[in-house]
Amino acid sequence: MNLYKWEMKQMLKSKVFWFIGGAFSLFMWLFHVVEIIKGVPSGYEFFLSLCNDFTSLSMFFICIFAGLHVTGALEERKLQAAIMAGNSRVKVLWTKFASFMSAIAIFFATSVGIPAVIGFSKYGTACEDGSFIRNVVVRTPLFLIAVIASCSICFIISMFCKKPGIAIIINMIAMLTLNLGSQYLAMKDWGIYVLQLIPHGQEMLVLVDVSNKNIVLSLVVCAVSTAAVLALSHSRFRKEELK
Amino acid sequence: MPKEKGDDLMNTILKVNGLTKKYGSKTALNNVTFSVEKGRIYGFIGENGAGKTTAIRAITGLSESPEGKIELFGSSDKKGLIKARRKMGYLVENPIISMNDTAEGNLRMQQLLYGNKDETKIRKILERVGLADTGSKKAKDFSLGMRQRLGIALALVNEPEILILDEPVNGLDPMGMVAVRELLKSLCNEDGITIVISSHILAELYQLVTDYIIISHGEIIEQISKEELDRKCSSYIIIETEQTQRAIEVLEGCGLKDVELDGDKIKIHDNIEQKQVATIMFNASIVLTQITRYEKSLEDHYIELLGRK
Repeated sequence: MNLYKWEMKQMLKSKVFWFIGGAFSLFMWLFHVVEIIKGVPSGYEFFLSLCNDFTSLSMFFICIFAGLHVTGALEERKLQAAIMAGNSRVKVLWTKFASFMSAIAIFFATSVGIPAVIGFSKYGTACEDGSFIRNVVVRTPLFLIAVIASCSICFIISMFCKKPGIAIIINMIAMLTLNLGSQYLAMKDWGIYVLQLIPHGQEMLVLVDVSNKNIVLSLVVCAVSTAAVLALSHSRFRKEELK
Repeated sequence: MPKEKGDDLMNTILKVNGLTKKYGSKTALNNVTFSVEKGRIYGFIGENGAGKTTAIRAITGLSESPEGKIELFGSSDKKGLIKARRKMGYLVENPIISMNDTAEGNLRMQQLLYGNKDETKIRKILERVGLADTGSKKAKDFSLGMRQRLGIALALVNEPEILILDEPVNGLDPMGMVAVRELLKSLCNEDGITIVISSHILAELYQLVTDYIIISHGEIIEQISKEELDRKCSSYIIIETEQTQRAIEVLEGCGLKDVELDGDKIKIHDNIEQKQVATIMFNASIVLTQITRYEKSLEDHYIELLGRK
């Protein structure tokens, strides 16, 4: 727990977190203003458009954040400090991932959560395709889990890179490829079966399908892919020669 | 600092045995073996690329899976070593500090890392390293010497029993070197902290350490106490004669106690002048073919060791 507190405090003291988080929120709020000017049919529609905007912008901002927060920590020897202070490498890695997840959750809360609450209070909570509980209360954490699982690819790339700049570029290429690939698959009849099995596909699917079957499938896919990312990161990090 | 041989096992807090590390076909450490006893200051000497930092990285956990055994506070298994490192302070190469934070802020973060909540300690540590008056000045505005002292302060946060310092005086001006040296001496003498300090500045180490561990090309070539080294390096007289055995008897008969035969030469370590030795030999009708006074510095000893290797 001390290590997590240390990680979080470091993150909250860093300019990277505030600058990227601030820019992310600012762009999201600009998108909201555009949505409102265009006309918002309902609070629910507004919420869905917020989630879509988050997916689009996260490709850019989370790629940069991962490069600076993860590769930057290796370059500044912060992870090394934690190891020399008597923490196992697996603990250090998990804690770094936990802080990465926490950052995404904070970005989500400020750029989707708060505007969504305002939107529902202004335009109402009616959901045309089912109950509010399933469509909003269940969908929100499910979407966030899918975003985190999808973005965890940036975590592993950033763990493998030596320079933050290189990590950011590779992260962006990876996320762009995933996004374009998912959009291509979405146009094919058989593509839906593939999308269901990848976190980035689930990030898109949970916005249209919150059936019991897809909830379970989404949780399983996200858990398995995140575990795979952590296992791969650990297999590399446990043997890494640290400077 | 005197040491009792019988207490060696109890006092040994770090034991490195057969440590070997290879990077591809290059062997960075080859069967490195040494031990560190409580309350002493060890100088880890070697040329650039000798393997000092590689060995320190293995001890601090930065380098994984070297061959051999590292035992810290009696623990040599992976879990035990990780736990034992909580009793260790470190400064490996450059101090790991947040440049945009103050000295106090950096220490607070380090305290959080160790789960230490006693805020009064921060003040005490800052006073100890001479950074108590830095106030709101950020680390990026510190001089190199101040940053090194902040690095040492960070290493003291967990009240370590052993400090591992890799080149802590590198790049410091003479005043900075003196400040760090005096600080380390007081940490050992007043707080009983064992210190392992790597450096290639031999003169600086001579004024600080109690023991030397000399490494070259990845191999330990000597572990020696300062007393032993002083003895080896102290001046002595060499005489050569064809009657070596008789000469030794005569010298010992005159009350000289530290006379040794080295090949066909006689070394006299006792405090005696060349002229007196020559007179003794003349009175005993022993013909000397050579008589010289030999003086050896730490540098000479080091170079001699490297040459021998």
